[in-house]
Amino acid sequence: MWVFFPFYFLVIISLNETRLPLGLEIPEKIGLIAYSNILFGKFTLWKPLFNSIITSGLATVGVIIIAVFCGYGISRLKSRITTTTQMSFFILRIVPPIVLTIPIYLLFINLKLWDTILGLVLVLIAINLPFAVLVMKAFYDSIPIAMEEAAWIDGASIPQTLIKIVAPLSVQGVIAVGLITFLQAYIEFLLPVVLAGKNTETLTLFIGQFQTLHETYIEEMAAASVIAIIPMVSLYIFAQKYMRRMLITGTH
Amino acid sequence: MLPAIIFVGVFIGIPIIYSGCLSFRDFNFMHMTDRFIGLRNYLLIIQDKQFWISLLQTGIYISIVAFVDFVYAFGAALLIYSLKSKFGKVLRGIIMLPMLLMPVSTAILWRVVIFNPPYQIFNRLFGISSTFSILADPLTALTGIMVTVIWAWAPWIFILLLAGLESLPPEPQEASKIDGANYLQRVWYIILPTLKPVIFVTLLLKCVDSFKSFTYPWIMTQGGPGGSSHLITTYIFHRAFRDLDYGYGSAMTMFSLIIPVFAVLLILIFKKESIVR
Repeated sequence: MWVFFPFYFLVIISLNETRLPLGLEIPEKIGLIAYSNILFGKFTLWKPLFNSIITSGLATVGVIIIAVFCGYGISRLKSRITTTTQMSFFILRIVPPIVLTIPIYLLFINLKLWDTILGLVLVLIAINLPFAVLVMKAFYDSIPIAMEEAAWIDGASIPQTLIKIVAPLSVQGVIAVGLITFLQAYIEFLLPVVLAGKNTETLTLFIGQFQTLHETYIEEMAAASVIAIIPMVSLYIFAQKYMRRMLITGTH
Repeated sequence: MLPAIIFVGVFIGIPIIYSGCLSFRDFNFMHMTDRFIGLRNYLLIIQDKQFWISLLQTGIYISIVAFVDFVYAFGAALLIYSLKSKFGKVLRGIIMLPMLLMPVSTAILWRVVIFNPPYQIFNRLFGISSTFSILADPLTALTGIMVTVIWAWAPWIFILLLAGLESLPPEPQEASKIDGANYLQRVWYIILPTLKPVIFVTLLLKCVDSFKSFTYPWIMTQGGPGGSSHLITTYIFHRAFRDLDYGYGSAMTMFSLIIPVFAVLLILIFKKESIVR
């Protein structure tokens, strides 16, 4: 009950054509007007949706590329620098994004990066990187180094070992980190509020704008939210296998 | 490794330093001022009642959300762990549902449909008169936000705890079963102690993330009515991006940077000692 109730209202309201406030009853007229408004009419969802997926996707790719190498490095090389790096990443994981918004906003306006996809992607990478690196590091820690040593003894160079031995083993970790980064970037609200303008309006901003228009367009808001769920559901289904493992490595 | 350090350095390190510099300046777009004023911003913060109220409210918010989340999520995780049947799997899917909804949607949905008129489902369910709105009353606005956040983020704790439960070795529990321990005894003496590290990390992360939370309080009340539901994040945002007082905002971010980092380090140091002993 506790879980279902809000969902029930979300769906019911998105289908409500009468535009009258509802109680617990099912509306008299059910239809897809709100959805068609969202998809083809007054508010077009396509651009925010596209922006959201592009920025989250690019941020995910960036995070993965950097985190894989960095996590591997921290896991395999034991020196004072690596432990310091690890510790500082742990501290950076705690830094609230609100700390970064003011300076980044001012810097980006000067650098002409405000309201560009590039700017948003760079900041999203930076914010999600510390956590991703820590997860990748934990992941590599769980893989015994023996295999790589065996490859070195057989005469493989370090790049060869990386490509032939380490890369296939990393797939699981990469998927896990990629998934969590994508979701974090996809639902991020504070950064787009500050760093995105008309050109880069993301889905969160698009839905957020109904905050002020809610009295008249609550049905559209509900419809947009239902549509926004679709990418998340598909990702979760795709990643179900890896989820559990990721969470365990993430907590240790 | 180097690219990561450089990247993080450029996009987190430089902004923090820049923010630190800004915090010593009177940098205000509204008054078009930009001059060095030393520590005056910090002195203003010490006198700023709203800042301390926001900080206190953040503390209340973090502790209540973490506590209720934990009780609810641990109960649910334990239930599903003990069920071990197909029904348990279905139930797990159901409990995880709120994670699918975007926080923005959740916040608007709860605010508009459940708490505020004209829908006011909450009032109708509990038979409260429709003139009263949780989010519009200074005494209860924060509660409304907390209920929403608990609904939305408890599943996250739930999966972490469930993953922890499922990775526990089954032997001690079997042994205690043979020794005749009942279910509650098993939970209290076997499961809780062995799960302690997972619980600790989960709650620590939860508190850290709660400190960062912005979407829910901002969308649901924007800190209102009368600042009664400002968390520290929303208050900084309000001062910096509504009043355009970037210098003062930066000074406050310095506070909000130091507090959680310090707290977490303190907890970790404390914990390390307790392990050594």
